[in-house]
Amino acid sequence: MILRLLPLILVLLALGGCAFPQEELLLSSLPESFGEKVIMRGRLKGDLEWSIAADRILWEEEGARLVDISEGTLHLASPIFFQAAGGIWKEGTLELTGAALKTGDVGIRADKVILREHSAEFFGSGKIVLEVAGDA
Amino acid sequence: MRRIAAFLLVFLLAMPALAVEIQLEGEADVPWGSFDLKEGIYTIRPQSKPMTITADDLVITAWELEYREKEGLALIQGDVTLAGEDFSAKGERLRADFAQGEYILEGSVSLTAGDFEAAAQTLTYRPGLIEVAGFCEIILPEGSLQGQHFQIDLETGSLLGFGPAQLTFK
Repeated sequence: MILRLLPLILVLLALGGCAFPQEELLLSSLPESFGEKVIMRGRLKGDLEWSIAADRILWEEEGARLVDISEGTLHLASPIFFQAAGGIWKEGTLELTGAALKTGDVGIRADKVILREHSAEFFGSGKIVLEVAGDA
Repeated sequence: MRRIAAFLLVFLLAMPALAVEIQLEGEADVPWGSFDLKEGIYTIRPQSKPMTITADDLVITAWELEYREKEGLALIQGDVTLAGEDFSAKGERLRADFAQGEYILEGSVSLTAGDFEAAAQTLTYRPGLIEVAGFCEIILPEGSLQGQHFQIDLETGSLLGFGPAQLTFK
């Protein structure tokens, strides 16, 4: 009986090996098609969740390249909303170019922003605007 | 309902709000700052050029800023300059409470305001008023004044001293 089933088992195993992607990183953040935008979700190293809507996603050697991010959210207790001309998702970090971020009363523009495990880092030229309500 | 909406609109328009802007210039691969996602602290350290902060009619330049989102306080340091319409000052460190409109400059403070020039340990700026404290020396057109605590009214240009002071004529 086992000998009869053995070829079938081997064929099924071979098919299974081909069907699953090799990179676990991509498996956890496969894009969904939604209207004309591509919706993508992922987690930074350290388990912080993000989600974006982008015009396009290109899978390249260095990571997933995102074009025209119109709605991005980093899901913190006080969420960070962002837009960017482009981005790269690789090794648990999200690198944004031509980015604008908004969290609470703070707005930030920067040529480049890298979202990592516990921090957002800003590069190039930029501007921070704090909206302060008070006696001033 | 319309009255309530009109009242809310007037209230929102009348509510004082201040936009503090921080301008930074740098190269694409050189970081100028970061935001701690857990603690809510911004740390800004430009590498090539000091940052420019504008808050209402004040202009501040410095090399380093730490802004704590929860407290609304900014700690600014590194060749700090603080300038308004009627004065300019320099110091080592500045504590800025943007919401209260209070700025405390510390460490080898120098000030130019109208006819006065001053050196002091600390300077506190609130709209229309400057206080200098610690060991202070005020250079006047007529001579110099040494003491511990002076207040300069920027609107009237008057100088008020507290405690013992020594006046030296030219």
